[in-house]
Amino acid sequence: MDIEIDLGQLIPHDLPDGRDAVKEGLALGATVELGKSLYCQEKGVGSEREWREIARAKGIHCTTMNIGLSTWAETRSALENIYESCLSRGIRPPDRFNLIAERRMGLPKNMRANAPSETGPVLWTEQDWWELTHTVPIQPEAADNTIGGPGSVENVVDALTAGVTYVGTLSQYSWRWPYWDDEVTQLQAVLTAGGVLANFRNQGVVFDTYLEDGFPGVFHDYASYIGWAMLERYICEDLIGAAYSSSWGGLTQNPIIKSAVTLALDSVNPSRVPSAFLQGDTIGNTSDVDSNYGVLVNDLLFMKLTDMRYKLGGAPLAVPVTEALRIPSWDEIVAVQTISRKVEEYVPMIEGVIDWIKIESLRDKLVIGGRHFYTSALQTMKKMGIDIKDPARVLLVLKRLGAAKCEELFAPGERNDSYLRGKKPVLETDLVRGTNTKRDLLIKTVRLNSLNDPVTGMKILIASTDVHEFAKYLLTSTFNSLGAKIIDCGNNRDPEDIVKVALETSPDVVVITTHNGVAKSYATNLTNELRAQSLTIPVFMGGVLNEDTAGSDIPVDVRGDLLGLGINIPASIEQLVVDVRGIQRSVRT
Amino acid sequence: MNVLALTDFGSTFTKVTLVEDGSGKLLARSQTPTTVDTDVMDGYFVALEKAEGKLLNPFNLVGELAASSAGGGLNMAAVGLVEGLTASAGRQAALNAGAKVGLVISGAIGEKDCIALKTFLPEILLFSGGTDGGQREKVLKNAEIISQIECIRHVVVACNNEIALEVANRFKLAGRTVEVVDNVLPEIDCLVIEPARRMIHEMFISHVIEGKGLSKSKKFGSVVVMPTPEAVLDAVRLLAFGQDNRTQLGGVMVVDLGGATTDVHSAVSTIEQPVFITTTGLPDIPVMRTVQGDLGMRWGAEGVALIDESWLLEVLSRSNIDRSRLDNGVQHRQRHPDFLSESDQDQEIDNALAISCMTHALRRHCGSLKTIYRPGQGSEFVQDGIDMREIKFLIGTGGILVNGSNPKALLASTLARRDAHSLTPQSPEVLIDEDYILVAAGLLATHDSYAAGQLLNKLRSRMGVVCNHDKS
Repeated sequence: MDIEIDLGQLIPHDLPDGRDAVKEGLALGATVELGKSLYCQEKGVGSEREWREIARAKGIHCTTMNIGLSTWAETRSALENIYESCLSRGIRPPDRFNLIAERRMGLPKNMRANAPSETGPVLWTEQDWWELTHTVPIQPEAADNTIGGPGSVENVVDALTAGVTYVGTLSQYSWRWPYWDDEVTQLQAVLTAGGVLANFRNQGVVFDTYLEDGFPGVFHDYASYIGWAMLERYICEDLIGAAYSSSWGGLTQNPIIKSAVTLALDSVNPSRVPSAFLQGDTIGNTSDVDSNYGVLVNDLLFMKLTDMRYKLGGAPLAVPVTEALRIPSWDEIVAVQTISRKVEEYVPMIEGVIDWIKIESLRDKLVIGGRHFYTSALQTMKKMGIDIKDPARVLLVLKRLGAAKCEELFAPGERNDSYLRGKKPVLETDLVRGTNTKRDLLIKTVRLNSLNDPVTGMKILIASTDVHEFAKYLLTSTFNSLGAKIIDCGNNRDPEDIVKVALETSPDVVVITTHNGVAKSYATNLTNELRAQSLTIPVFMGGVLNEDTAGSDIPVDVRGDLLGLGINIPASIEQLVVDVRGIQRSVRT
Repeated sequence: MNVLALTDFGSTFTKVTLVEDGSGKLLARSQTPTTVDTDVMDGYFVALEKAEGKLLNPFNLVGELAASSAGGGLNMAAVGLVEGLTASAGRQAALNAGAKVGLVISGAIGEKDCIALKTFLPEILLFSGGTDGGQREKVLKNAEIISQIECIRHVVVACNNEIALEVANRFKLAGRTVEVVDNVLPEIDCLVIEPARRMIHEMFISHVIEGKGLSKSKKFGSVVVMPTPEAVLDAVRLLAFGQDNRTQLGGVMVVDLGGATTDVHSAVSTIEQPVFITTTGLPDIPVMRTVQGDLGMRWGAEGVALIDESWLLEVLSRSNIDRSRLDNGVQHRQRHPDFLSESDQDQEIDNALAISCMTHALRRHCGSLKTIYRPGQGSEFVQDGIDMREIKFLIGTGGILVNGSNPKALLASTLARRDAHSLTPQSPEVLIDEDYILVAAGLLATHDSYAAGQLLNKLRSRMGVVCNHDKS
């Protein structure tokens, strides 16, 4: 059926034309002199892209690492150690690294010093930027917090001047920066930075994204990943005029699926811009470091097999086996780089026995689904009178829709309410697969624990204070499986709504899940409303039990306040079931 | 030829329609003022004689059916637990039964509520509260209190099924006539109004209509089979869905513009909402009637002027009607409901009031769809009420829409005033039920739904659709 909503309502009347911001960037770019890094000097090329295209043609493996220690000085020192250590072990050092800068880097320069410090380096001076590209011959990407925030324009100029030629991260335009709530100005900064990059398109400069840092990180369908990348490419290449690279990969464990998605992204990359990097799996790792070696090798092997067979020109990133526990040290990075180089030797031995036809078939399905998402998004906006030639309007509508609504509106597939987003995915993401596994395990555990005293027949009212769907899904699935009667109040419910429904239905307990920094005020209103209606129903709350407070950019933990209000706050869903059973028991006795 | 007399005892006029039995062919119609001050049957016999006089061939009058809204129609109160849930579900059941729901009470019944009930004197009270297996104590307490109010005589109980008999018993013990039906809101997301609607209909026929004192003749009680609005709603249902409940005209809406109220009836095929839309309020129902007691051309004129003042002033200023002239005109209409506009300026005021009444009645009848953006969380599309944008036919009836010079223009102007969030019809075809076929067809459907379908073909032919169902 036709989409009957009006997306135009998401655009402020006074939103400036994004094309003007891009033009401003193009003009600014004309005044910038592109530097040359040590890596590019060593390879004899003008840009990283130029070398990656040569490597692709010659079948040379490239690798990436992430690095971002507490300060730039520590990070610089680690880079030197990594480079020297690799050489001393007789392995080729990594080709490139992503600088994982601190969030303050996303703010305008004049705000950074006064903003609270977090973990990660900040490049404060021109010297710091120069050192980024000239400490060792490993090519840097100015990645996290370079483009996306309100400080995008200053960062992009510094990066290019230093000789960085892959600059990210477009998907971070959907982020909110601390002490910054003006999303229109932030958006203009991203577009102007994009305009600066566009000025250097013919010199090999690339605007990179990391898909999982944006909405794809919470999509349920890999086809939506492809569609989203197509939208970003349309904005970047067609509207802004910059070359676009879609890096991705950290939230996918299944190596076959990862290969198929990587190939699908290549299929919707007509200019064949080498993607900056292919992120290693971060969800398969656990606190058991030894088992993480298994994750690492399988992940690397398939990333490299795919890269070589299809001449993608990518640069797989080996995730240190300790990353789930701590920020990896330089020697832990060297360890996985060594493994990564070793894996390369196995690629020609294994490539011939892989069922690539199956992977290509998956790729083709994803491409069809992705094109549906892309076309549907643009056609819907156009039909609603949104100027889809204006990158500001397209980006803002997508941002304000949010990931869930984007997928509900644009993803392919027929209506199917057994799936959270109302459609059967073309290929379910590992995020959903992981959640379902967690749900199944949870149900199994609580069933085992509840055999002698189930919650069968109990009426449980469940609601969410926000848009987060997974927690409520886990709660309803678990209690449903235990034979409880669920009164599903839905998402984004106010306390008044909960009390009205409770008045009519008389639930045994009320369970609230919250993730939007309102736990205390919500609980206060809820308990007041219940008291006003003389309802004495036990209330349980879970999720992120904090509150955004004036004067603090960090939400404050309010668990003590909730306990004071008489709210039960179990540590887990398993504990919640036990506690609810306790109420059942006390009612029976 | 066998002939049926189908009559509408209206508050102002008694309208008789004669149709051929079996075919539903419209033969003649007439109307006379309703003789509520003496005996409504006096006016009926006059109107019937006038209509019969128009028949050219010999005939046998084989049946007489009537609907009535004379003497104030069916006055009901609805009691529930929560406004927006059981209280609203009860009100909707009563409205669909053709009642005038003058009082809706929710929450714990208190002294003020009891006074309101004693003052309002409902002819039937619909009692609801609690989903099935839900609230008990508060519902039982409400029943206990209301059962002691002497003036409550007839009660339909449509509450939590676990306590419905207990509730009914309290009313019975207090000497009330009481019937138990299915809960109007058995689950929080499930609206079931048909059993309550049918029971209200039965009570109206068996207990209420003869007790209104409109006629000394027993015949009045035997010919009246439903309240007039219920007949209209049944006709709308038949028009939209056909005799076989399959014919889809894509949604039909009727706006009945009266002196005291503006009624809107609709029948649409409810559709599964897209997953990206969040719905609030009661679940959709395919056939629905709403009544706006503050929107009327005469008794309701001041209410209309109050809610739509700036638009009225703006539109009437084009006819050189200023605030003072408008205020005087509105007050005059309120004080003299029988006022007939003769001057151009008075007709302009009537036209503007009509558009106001219908605009607001349509907005309240239909749902709304709002886009809510929450920074950091994305957007939500929230729909409250039924989406009626795709309604294919909008039929006007009553007062100025039947007797005015350009009723279609008034409806067109009404449609042009739809606002961005409202889910009122976007571009329906506009028709006028100038022969009051809807009431007649609704009545006829109680006797012969095939014939009623054929009678409605007179309207359908103007819609470009004629249905020839098998007679079965």
